[in-house]
Amino acid sequence: MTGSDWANVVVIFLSIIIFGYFMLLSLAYLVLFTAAFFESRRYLKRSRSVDLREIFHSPLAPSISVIIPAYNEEPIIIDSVKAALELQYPRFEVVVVNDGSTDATLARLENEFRLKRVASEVARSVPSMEARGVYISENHDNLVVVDKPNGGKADALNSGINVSRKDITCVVDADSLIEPDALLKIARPFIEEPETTVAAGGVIRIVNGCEVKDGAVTNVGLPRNYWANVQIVEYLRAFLGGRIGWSALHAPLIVSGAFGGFDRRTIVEIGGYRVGAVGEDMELVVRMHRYLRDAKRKYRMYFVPDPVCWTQAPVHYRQIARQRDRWQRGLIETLMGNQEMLLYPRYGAVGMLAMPFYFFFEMIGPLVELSGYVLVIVALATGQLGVDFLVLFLTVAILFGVLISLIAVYLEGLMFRRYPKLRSLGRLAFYALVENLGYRQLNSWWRTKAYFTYFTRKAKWGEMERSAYGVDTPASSFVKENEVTGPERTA
Amino acid sequence: MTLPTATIMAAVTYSVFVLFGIILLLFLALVVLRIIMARREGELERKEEEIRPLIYEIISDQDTEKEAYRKIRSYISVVNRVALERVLLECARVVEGPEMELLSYLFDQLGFVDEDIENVQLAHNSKKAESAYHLGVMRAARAVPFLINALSSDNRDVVFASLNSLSRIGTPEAVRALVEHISRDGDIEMMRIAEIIPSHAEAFRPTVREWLETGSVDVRRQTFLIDLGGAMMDPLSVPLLARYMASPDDLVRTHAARALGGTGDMSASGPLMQAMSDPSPAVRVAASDALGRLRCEEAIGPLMDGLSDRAAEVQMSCAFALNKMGNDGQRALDDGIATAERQRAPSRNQGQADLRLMPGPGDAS
Amino acid sequence: MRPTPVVIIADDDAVLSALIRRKLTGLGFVVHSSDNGHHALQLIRDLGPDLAILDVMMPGVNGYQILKAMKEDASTSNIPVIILTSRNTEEDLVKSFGLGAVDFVSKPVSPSELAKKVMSQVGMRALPELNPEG
Repeated sequence: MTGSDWANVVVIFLSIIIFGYFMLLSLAYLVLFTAAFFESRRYLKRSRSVDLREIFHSPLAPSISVIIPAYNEEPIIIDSVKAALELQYPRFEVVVVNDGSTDATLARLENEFRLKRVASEVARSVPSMEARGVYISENHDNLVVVDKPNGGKADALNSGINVSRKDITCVVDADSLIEPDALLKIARPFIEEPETTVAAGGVIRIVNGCEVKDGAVTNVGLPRNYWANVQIVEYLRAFLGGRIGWSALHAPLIVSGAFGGFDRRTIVEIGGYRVGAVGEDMELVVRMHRYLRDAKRKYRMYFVPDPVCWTQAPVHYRQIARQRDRWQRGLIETLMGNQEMLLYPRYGAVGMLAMPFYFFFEMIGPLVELSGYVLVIVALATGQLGVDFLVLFLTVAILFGVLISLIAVYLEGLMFRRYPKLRSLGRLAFYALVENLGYRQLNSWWRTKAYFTYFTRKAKWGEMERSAYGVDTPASSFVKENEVTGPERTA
Repeated sequence: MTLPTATIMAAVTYSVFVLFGIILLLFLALVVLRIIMARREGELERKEEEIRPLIYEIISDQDTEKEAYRKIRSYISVVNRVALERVLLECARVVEGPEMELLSYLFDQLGFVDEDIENVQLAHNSKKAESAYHLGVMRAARAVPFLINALSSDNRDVVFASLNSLSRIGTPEAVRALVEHISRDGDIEMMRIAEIIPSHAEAFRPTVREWLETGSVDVRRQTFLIDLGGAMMDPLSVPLLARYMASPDDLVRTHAARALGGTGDMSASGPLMQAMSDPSPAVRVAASDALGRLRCEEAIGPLMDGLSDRAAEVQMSCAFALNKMGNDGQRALDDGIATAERQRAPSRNQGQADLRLMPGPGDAS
Repeated sequence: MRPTPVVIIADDDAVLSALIRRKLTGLGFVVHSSDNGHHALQLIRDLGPDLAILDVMMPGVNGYQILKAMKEDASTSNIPVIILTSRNTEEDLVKSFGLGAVDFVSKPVSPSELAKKVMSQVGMRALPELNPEG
């Protein structure tokens, strides 16, 4: 055989792999969406015979600790804590962990909530740095503030866990906008299946373009910004196909740090968050699966599909790139750190289905996609393959992606109708198209680059951890209206 | 050897087309469904909007039952039944008293109660649960026998919705059935029971006291019963709960302390103050929480001592408790902190051993 | 009492709010309602109503905070307040009256019963015509 024959073989071989990848990906998403569809339908049906207000009156509703880690959140911290204190739930506390902020975060808290220092140490059920002080508030008897030197988000969360005494630990980002009845909704699985529920996650929605008043979303709308819109589509697909779908298949791998509830006892048992982990939320969940399955315990992790948490999506290129880079690194770290679970029957759907999926499609996927594009260009340029091949490739790589995104958008529209106007769906449909023409490829590029960052970068403690907080947008761009002109004004 | 390039290409093309077809069909189906649903919902909303003013008027003007019924029959066409039911239900959820009685009458006369009774007997599970739930909202006393029947369903949602509705309807027959069912079924959704029981506390108190007396071998059920005992706000249960404070199991003692705090009765403060010297830190935490909940001023002394407890979490819970006790408590807290700080300063190297805490389900507040 | 007494309702439950409003309007009151705490407080300050009905759980500023703010402001401290809440623990009762509410109603509510209370409160306040309104 000649050299060019070999080249031909190689190209065809690679092409089959790449085609196979895209087609399998689409199929996998279809399966996940189907699972998500039935799960959501079940949830919605069951919700019709439940009145959340009754949980509110139940004297045995499990108590909740809402932990808010904060690093340099001076502009938004007060609003954030106030909103948390207003959540509707019978018995809960708010634990704010000031992770060595260099700005006036702590001072503002002290001022607003009349903090009083009551202890300088914290019993440590899970590892965390020593606290500098623990404060309670004179005017809110369910607020605790922990002040500690900077140690990163995972460490801050652990500190919060140490201070908390409630049944359920609920982890929240400082800039997440939590809906008032979110705690009631997230407590439901814990109440209905108290023996087995160890974690419950909420759906995260993008708040860009929505009207926000007093920490509550009053009008859901779509933003104008291109980046925000494509991310909305991306989130819809990720949540339906990623979170809810996998939860329906009993293998949720991520409970977002922006809003997630855990059984405290179980978190303490597994040693809390791993300090220094990049994707600490995913790392915790995977480790929890591992621990519980090793111990052969019956357990479930649920997703509450009814939207409960709103977050701001970054709208600047560099911020998005950095965020995706960080997510990818977190993913790599967690998967590599738990590779023993891969395809090991003992780990059930998690090890046999979810992790391989994430490994193949989310971790390696970007590489494959990128190579696909490169290969096609090269092959075309060197005349190895013809136009028909190009058409096929584009169909599989782009068109399928568009359709999958469209299905996600319309599925959401069918189930939850958070974007009530049909016109909004139309706009989202447009962005589903646009997402696959550029944004998706950019994403692959960022995520491929993440490999290099992962392997070359030694964890620069402060800098890396800083960007682990919330979204990489300047906190001052937090959307809020209704500046404080109310009761605080002196008459 | 040449590769069968053509066949490979053909195979790939074919499979791509098939998959494409499937996906496209799915998408189109979704779009169609969505449009249909939007239409239906829009219509329903419009009908509801039309109906609301009339219903509000009827309720506010306190028409007699017959008058109200007549108005509805003449102004609201049969076509809008679904919308009518929804509007009536949303009103029923928020009102009580004479207005609720009027609504109950209307639900019955308009045939909604009959419909739901039928569903409770014949429909599939999720519809059963929904209808059972609605019967409670409607306060349909007539439905009680059917709801009692539904209690033997093997679907948890149905059972719970029925229990819930029986609780809301609250006739003696309904409450009797409730108590019986809950007493009998050892494995019923424990936590969810607590959503119902307090509204019929009188009826349940004797039963719960009995349970507390007999106790249970199963630790899980035992702690649940203790929790429930605390939730009943029953002064008579205090001595029973106090007995559990002598249990060798610190989990039981922790729950007992918590429950004592929940009773809201000052007679519980005695055993609780004693528990402040319990060997287990989790119990001390629960006891101090409970004292805070009771706002027991006698306990300010022991709580102040607790501020220098050897376990940090006890220090914190005592601080919390004092903080809740108004001015006296807060002043005591300030004093206590100052003292504790002074005590702590010289011996700063009291290392904090990693306490393996008995993760007592703390609560308070 | 003004010829048409003014009542402000702050509650985020649209149905309940509408029912109460309808009831009171039928009895001759002028009713303004809001589902937002800040907005309600603003209304109270601007309109100087004869009575305010405040729901405890509302987005933004809750009923207790509004009540407190009203009492701290001389222009609104005399306005009688009825607290409305789905919580009915002893704590809430104590808190409400402690903050100066004149009555406490727990949900679910009978609009006619509530109306009776409103009328008696507003009627009562009419007698000492000495203190200037608002």
